Amino acid sequence: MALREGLGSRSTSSSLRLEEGSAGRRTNFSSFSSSFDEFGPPYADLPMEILVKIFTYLTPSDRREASQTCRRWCEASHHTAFLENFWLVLHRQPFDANGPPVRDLLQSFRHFPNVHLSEVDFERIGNFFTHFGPHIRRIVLRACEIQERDLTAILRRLPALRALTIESCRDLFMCVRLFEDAAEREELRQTLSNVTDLSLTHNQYLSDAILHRMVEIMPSLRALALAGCHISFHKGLYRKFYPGDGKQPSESVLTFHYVSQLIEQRKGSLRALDFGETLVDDNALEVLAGMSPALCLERLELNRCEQLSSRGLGTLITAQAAHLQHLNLSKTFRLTDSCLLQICRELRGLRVLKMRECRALSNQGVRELVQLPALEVLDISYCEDVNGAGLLEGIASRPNETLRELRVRALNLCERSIIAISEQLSALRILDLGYCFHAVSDLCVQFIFRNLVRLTELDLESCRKLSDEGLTGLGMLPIIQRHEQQQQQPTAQSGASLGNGSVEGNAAPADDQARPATPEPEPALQAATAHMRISLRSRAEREIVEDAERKKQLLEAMQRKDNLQSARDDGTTFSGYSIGRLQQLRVLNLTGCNRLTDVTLLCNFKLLELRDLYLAQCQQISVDGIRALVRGCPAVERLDLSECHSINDRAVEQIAFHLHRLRTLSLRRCYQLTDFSLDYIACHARRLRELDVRGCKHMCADPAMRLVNLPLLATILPGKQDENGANGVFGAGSSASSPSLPPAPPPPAAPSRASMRI
Amino acid sequence: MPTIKLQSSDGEIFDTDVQIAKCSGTIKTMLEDLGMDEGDDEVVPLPNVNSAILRKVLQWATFHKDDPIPVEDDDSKEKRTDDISSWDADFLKVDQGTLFELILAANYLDIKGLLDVTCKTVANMIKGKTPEEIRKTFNIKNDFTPAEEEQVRKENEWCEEK
Repeated sequence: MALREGLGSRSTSSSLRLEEGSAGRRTNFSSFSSSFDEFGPPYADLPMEILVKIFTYLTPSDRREASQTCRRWCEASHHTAFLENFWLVLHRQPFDANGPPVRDLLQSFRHFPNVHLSEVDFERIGNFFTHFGPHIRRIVLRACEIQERDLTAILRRLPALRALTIESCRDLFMCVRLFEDAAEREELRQTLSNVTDLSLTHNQYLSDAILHRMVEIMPSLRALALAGCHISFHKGLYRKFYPGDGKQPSESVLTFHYVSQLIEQRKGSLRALDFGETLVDDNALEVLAGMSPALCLERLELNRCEQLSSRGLGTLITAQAAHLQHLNLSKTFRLTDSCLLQICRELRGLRVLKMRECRALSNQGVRELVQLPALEVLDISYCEDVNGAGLLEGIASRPNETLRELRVRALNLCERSIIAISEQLSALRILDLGYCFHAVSDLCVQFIFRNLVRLTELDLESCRKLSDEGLTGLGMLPIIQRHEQQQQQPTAQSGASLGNGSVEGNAAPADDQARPATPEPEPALQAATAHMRISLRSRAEREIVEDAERKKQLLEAMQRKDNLQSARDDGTTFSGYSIGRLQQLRVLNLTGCNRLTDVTLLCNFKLLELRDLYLAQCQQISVDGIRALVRGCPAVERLDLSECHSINDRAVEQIAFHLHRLRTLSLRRCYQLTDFSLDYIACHARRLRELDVRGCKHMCADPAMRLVNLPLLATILPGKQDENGANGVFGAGSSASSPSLPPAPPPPAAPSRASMRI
Repeated sequence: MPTIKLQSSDGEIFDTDVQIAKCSGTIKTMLEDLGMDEGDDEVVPLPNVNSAILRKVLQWATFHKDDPIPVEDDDSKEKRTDDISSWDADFLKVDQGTLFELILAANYLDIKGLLDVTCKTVANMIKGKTPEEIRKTFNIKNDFTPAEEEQVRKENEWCEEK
């Protein structure tokens, strides 16, 4: 009896309830199927803590589907554990309390801790914020049409607010009266006393006076972002707009003079600053450096600050060496190796370092990144003088279990460096190798698939060497083994590795020239195609035949494998590693990998968590591949098939019918498509938000007319004509010619920075 | 090797190695609380676990007896479901009823490793499915009214996690 009590006292509340509630039913069964009611085991009634535990293993997208099965699972999906990153997102919708979607949301019983409103026109706010406001912790207003009085009415209802972002709301800041009423400010100050993050990026008309009043109502600020605002760093302007004593903040300009005063006042509490896309200069950074030790900056964003040089950065880095964890210096073109050496030496606590497009950097500086012990995120994309050696001798030279995100887009890497990345950086979750087209070979991706199975994002855009073998692993095992044998006998291979080095040293050889220099022409393939060379003169023609032949062989190999698999397990002798190993992959970019064919999609392309898939310009993909794709990757929400000329109406039918979660679909310049495609989409793709059918010349001129029954479809890019050269709006990355950062919100009018400089 | 006797809900007695039984946090705590140790001949009743499930649980615990003690869940740690060992995967090739019972038993007996792997198995069965397919897989009855279902669906359209 004592034992029985012992057990009871140990069990948790939910098990107790189970004991009481279902003991009778559950004690006397031996065969399960007969003991449950007609609906089988009551999974719906699992203890809440177990349901929540199960849900933590799901992606947000799967959790959303699961929440629609029954009331209890719905309840579990609203658990506080999932609320932190849970956003209510309205994009290009009217904000009208009397119409959808706001009217529908008002019926809801759940909380929305985070609200993101972009390109929303505020019509009638109604009691939305009265209802949900007390629980809102973060709110973003991006490019919204909002009146000053609406904004104050909203803010007044947000006592729990922690972070406020108002981005590219041009008209709002044209209103000089914003927060002018002192009594109202006092009231807001009470309400907004917990706001720690204020972001006012890309607001052309933000002035000293408005900033002053906004900061005044937020006494607890820790982070201030003014990226893309027209801050004047020039003293001449200060004298012009601040005649006399200059005590009163100007209503017409935003000056660093005032901003620095503000930082000075708040230096004890401010921890993060963003001056990205401004003309911030060395003098300004020296002013900031002068505020230490009282000012402790943990995060500093200086993206695209073209005026900066090593002098100002060096001073500030030394001043903030003990605190900085997050540093963004992308497009600071004058950043030099010596400055990077200083960063590596002094910023021991640095976790995030972004230096995209810092063209002055070379291997000499990049190699020292290995000294940063806590680095989790590194972006050195488009640093064009950096090559494989900088990584091999640096960050990829030894095992590293902290780096989670590595972006080396468009670097002139070598095969060896990518293999080293896959072997040493075992904690990687995000890897961007886009446009590393000389280096990324089938062998490289085989190593990635073997070693980095926890990747969530993989970008291989325009890695044109990639073929079906690499993605599927078919026939790759001997090649991997040969590579490893070579590694084990370095003496015998010294000549080859020297050759490697010289290829990597060359300044970007053109694609055609690079091909004959490929260090390892696959003998098997050569043998297979040797007989064709006799009869065919044209190189292009030969390649087409080779491609077709290879596709045929692979399909046969795949069928053999299918047959074998019933008899044997995975370790078939001719198989390497397939992309199916990356089961956590959410984003995959294969844009421009135009040697890929249906074989890639037909062979183990089963990625249950895949959300974004870019296959633009993969012209050999047809309905056969799509049919496998829609079954293997049911969670896809964004699919880019632009310029996949083999895609036909049948393929679109498959997509519309099977990809239930699809939100964004790009079919730009898929010339075979007709109005049937639109009809399939209209009938089945109920969740579609964005559709790009530009250049589909066999479609009707006004596709929106055929799609009126899709209530969520807010963006359609129609048009038989499609201007050449323009980039697709849904493109994953940027094209080679115009590499750019994630698209900044378009400021409504072209910034007239020149006029503001004087 | 010291053993203890575990009694399932339907009365069957399982003579079990103490070390294996201690995989269960519940049994371990109980033995410690009661100062009961090796050699005692007392029977431990487990009124919430029937013999078929207890046999499975002990089979799992025997195989995993040398595993390192699992650390407590860290919320910041990412959750993955593709790390189920092939032994566990084969072990869990069971019908939905057995899987359900194993989850409850793991929870009741406080065997973290088994609870983790069973929950992951369930999560894997949810992935990529539509609500209707999930209902079918787990025999879940749709207890929403049509209006409620519509409401949940509409709300979800505007919700994202990022």
